Amino acid sequence: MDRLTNVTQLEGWVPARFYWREGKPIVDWCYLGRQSFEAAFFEQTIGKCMTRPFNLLFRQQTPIEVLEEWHQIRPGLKPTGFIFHMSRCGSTLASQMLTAIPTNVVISEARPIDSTLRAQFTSTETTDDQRITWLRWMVSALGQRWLGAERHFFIKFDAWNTLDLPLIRQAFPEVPWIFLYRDPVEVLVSHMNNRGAHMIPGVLSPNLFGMDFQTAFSLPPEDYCTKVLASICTAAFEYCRYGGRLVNYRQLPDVVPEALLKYFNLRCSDDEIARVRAVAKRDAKDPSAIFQNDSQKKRDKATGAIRAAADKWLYPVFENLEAARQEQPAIT
Amino acid sequence: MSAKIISSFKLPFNFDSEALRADLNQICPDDWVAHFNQDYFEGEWSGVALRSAGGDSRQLYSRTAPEISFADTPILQRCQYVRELLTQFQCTLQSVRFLKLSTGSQIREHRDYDLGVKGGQLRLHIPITTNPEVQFFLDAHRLELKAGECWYLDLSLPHWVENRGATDRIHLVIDCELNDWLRDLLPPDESIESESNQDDKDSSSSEQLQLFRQTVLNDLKLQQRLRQTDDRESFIRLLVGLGRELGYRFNAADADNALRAEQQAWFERWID
Repeated sequence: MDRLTNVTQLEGWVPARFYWREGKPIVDWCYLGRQSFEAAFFEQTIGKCMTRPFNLLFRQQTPIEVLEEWHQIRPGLKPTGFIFHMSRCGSTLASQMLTAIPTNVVISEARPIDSTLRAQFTSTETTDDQRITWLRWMVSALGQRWLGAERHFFIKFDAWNTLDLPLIRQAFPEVPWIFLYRDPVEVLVSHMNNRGAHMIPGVLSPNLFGMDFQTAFSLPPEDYCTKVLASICTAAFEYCRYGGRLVNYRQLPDVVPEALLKYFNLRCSDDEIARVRAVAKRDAKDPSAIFQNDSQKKRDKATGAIRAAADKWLYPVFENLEAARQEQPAIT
Repeated sequence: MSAKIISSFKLPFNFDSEALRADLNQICPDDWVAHFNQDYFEGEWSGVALRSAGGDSRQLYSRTAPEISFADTPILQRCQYVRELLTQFQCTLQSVRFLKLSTGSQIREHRDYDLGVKGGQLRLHIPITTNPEVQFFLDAHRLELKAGECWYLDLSLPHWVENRGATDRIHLVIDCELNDWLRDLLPPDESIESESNQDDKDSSSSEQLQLFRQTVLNDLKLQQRLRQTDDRESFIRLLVGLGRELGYRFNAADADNALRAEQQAWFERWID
């Protein structure tokens, strides 16, 4: 511990992990060097780095306060925009479209950000003020000019981070944000096929979604998943009156080049717009496949249990989101 | 004790780099053929065969099927000095090529397993044009080869090259069959003295590695050195070697164990 004698030695290092040791918050740093976050998820870029023997043997481990020192001397880029989403609704496509512009840094579902936001679950004494401060430091350490010429910085959060929208907005009141959502049945079919982390009670605490463990484990999976999604969508609906834009999956991919870039105040060349559009021609999680709207296919697979759960808990908030979206000023 | 591997050795020849450049001038732009190994490099890597399997100057592949023998190509006829130079090699020659790594190009880290003393086939490099911005790393060590020198390189070890300079890097590359004449030119082979597994396994050596790791975390130069290879074996040799230079006594087994432990810890990082 406290191996680092001079904080400038962190040049080229990226926070890869935030955790608690002996009651203290610790950051593990991984050497990244001159490299961009091209992979669809932050964790993929880090995972690739960790196959190098140097990175396995040499990780800086620092107390969280070193993030502040680093923030002082290397504040990095101010965030340009945030993407929140309900999961399985095209958010990876949207973030990959932004990645297509080489001067954008796009950090997607970074575990260190999520761990910072959920710090109060690991250490109950963590205050909101601490989380806000740590989040600012963490974001600043991730938003560096990794290649040198980056100008804009986007963060796609994990779906459940939407519940922390008020806190994230307190930390970054000026950053424009969007919330992406999709027809409930289509999202549920995707999760029942292959459930995300937040859909398995115990991987993420059910408390996060306002349920206790006993309730969580007694519910059929369709019901649990639906309630998780409903709590995420409700948080977005309740907060969207304070700014932010709602985007329905059906608006993808054209909404990105036609409206979102403008909403995030990006002025793009024709070449950059072409790059952004080109991404939409492939599947964000499987670049060899072509992106296609698979709504009908998903709907056809919906079981009775999925439909019943969606009707009961998720469609009401989905309708609210749709109504609110139509009331929002057009972003074109 | 760790094994001493002869990874590179400068042979006692000094060739006339002016004359070599004059031979290069005999090569027309159309004679250069893009290297077949497209997966390994970025930029431009090309060559001309002076001797090849079948005698075709466009055949850059250095290995051959048993029924095809190596023969001089018509281009060798234009290169008077290279012809003279080759007569000094008292061994069977296989392929002889000019290989060009153009400015801004790089060959990623890889190993040519059949080249080296063990494989019975040696590759010699004679730089013709080069520049100080060429980064050539063999087994995690930077080599500086100067025009006209003749080097034996054990390319079964991990190696990579990057030409960051403004001029092309062109070498004359000669593949030879190992014989007594060549063996006498090389330093005595110590690589047979293999590492004994039971050697100085004193309990403090893994602690010594821990101390060295802390030193590295505060030393940017050491970090940079240790990042020059992604090959696990080369990395371990380099780590043990750098540790020794600074007085830290640990061995390859300690390094290997530490790597395994870290890998395990990384996979289990979310299980608290």
